[in-house]
Amino acid sequence: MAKKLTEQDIIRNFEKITEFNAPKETITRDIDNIHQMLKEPGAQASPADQNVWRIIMQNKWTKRVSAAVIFIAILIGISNLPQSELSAAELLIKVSEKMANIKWAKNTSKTYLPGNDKPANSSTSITDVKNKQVFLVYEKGYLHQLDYKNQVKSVYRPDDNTMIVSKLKGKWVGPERKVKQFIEKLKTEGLEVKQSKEVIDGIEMTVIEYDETLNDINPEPDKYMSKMLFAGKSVKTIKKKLVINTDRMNLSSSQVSYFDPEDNPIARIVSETEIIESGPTDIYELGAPKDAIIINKIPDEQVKDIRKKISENQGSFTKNYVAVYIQRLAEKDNNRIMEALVIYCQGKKLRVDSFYSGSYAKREKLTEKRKDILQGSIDILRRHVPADEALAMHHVSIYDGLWQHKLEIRDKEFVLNPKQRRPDGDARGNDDLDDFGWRILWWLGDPEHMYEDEFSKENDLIAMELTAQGSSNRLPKRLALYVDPAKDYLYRRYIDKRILDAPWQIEKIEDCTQKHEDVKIYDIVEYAQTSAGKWYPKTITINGYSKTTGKKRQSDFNRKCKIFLIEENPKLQQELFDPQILE
Amino acid sequence: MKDNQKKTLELLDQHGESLHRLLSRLTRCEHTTSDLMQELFIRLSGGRGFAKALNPYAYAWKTAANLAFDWRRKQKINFEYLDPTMLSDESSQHTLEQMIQQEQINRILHITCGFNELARNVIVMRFIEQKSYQQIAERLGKNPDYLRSLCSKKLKHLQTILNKEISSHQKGGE
Repeated sequence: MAKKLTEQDIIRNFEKITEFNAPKETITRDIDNIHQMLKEPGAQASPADQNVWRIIMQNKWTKRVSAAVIFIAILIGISNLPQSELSAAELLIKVSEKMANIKWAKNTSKTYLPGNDKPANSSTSITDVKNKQVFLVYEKGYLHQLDYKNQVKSVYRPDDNTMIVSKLKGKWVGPERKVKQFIEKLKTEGLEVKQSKEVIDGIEMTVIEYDETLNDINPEPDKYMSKMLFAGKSVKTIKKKLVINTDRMNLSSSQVSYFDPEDNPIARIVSETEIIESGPTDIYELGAPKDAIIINKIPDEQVKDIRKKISENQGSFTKNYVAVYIQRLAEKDNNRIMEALVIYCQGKKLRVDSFYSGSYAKREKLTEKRKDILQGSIDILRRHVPADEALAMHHVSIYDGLWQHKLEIRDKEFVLNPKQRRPDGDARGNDDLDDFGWRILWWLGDPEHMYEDEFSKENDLIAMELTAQGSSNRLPKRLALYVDPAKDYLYRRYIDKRILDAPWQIEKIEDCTQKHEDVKIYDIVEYAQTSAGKWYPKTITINGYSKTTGKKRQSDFNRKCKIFLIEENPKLQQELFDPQILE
Repeated sequence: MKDNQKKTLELLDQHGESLHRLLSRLTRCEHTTSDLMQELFIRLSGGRGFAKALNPYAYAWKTAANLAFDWRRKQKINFEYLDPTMLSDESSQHTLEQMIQQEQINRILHITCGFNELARNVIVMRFIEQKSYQQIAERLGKNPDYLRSLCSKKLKHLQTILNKEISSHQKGGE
């Protein structure tokens, strides 16, 4: 949760709440039940779905009464309470207390896929309670050490004999974690709990189970999507089971099974817990070789300072100007325009007229129809675009300080999009002049850290890097930023990479559903200054490629972008920003 | 059939779904929604306030929102970071993103609980039910400009509290 929230983020979260809908059958069932209840004389609140456990955990008085019953039972020496749900509550709390006092625990976890008795993967974790450490052993020699005392995570990767040391997020929870999670879940969500006895290896065990059903959060009808995906499938039901050794009062095993909306099993994770006497003291004792190359990714405090300076400089760039941005194919024989923008900025107000090159005859004809609003921008662009190179409108967007309005050509027609409320600024945050020059890395991944290489050293640049691990449905991603402190913290180079075979990926991805690899390198190769001496980019090159994973053929991406600051502090007519003109 | 019972049944037929939707969005829990829905209609059928209400739906809506926020206030919200050991082998990155968003949503609703009744209801009508200020003003009998300004202030307030929490988490984690 590193990113600060804007008002827009909060509104977006509210919109997510709006998307949340209980299944139709649940609504009908609840309404029918109430109908029946209201029609019966002397109707009472009859919590049909509640069992004793739910009542106990949801009501403070019943909780106190149950605690008193247990206390009295112990006092008068009744050791065998009836096999009711009440003993499940007592049992879980006792197990949690007992497990909180052990010194070492070992947990073996295996994931089974439907129709296969062999586990798809397995891992072992060893918990050192005294030193607040967890050691994890994965298949193929991957080792993790999670040091909660110092909040440091070490990951050994045998593929290239590297040890990645990074900041550990999260709070220490001992071996009682699973039992506590069980108690919390039941306490806060009031789920049904089942309790039974089972003899395993000649020992009588107590089995506690509950099923959790996830809601459909997809606003589109006929498509199911819950808040959880497992192996690329949307999970509808999660069945959890704890097996408790009542004699020793400890957790023996646990099982979590995931089911899709049609109730087909997706996967089953079986974990066995054992109390052990001792374990490794560090990752080397666990098996990592001493000569492993250490890559330190602990985020540097400097990152925060630099980010602050970038934001300050971006914020102080002039807010009253007219500018032109032209992006062309950087090929000798064909350097046609890919995008041309005329940008009018006045305080919070922003208007951007966007054009294509004129290879779209029909668009050109359409453009003619809106000469009333486009002529001024075309005249400005003509100073930089030869007369024989036609210009066809792509879109006109107006941000009036709160609302974003956009007129675009779509399917050979003018389409006025519904206006959008944007209290935090222009729509995409990438068509204002300062958006072209100042960048900040943000992605859900490992913490951003300072970085140094030949390019940063040679050019006296401050470099930062952020990587994100890939998974079965996401390619590994890397963002790197080289900032020039001598040029008002404008970036000099920005790299955005999304590739399958990534050197920063810790665990190998066997198969990824995302197949589109993409690499782009942005370089500011020429800078200019405003009359007040503020730097801005004059020429930017964008080079890279995109390709489909596993295929050799790639399409190259080579562009050259020119920025012309046409006028500073111009007197702009207010009708330029009047959304009415788009209608 | 008594008048109040008839009135309650009519409300259930006409607005049952909408009230269910409101409760499910505010509690985000199917079981709780069922319980609260039942409690809501028992209260309405036996309450004098509802019997006298000129706008039964508005009265029921307000009662439902109060029930949901009361329930939420009683919940223990654990604003801890997610445990990476739990996620490393059992969940994908996408799930993590979803969980972070769920956490944000729960925190937003939890903070909204603390607002006064008017502000809370305006926030729900505006941002969750997506009503226009004019529609909200008509329902509540207030000036739309006042409601707009109230909403804006409360949104800012929410942002300040959330970002303060994020900062204190970050400091705590360092």
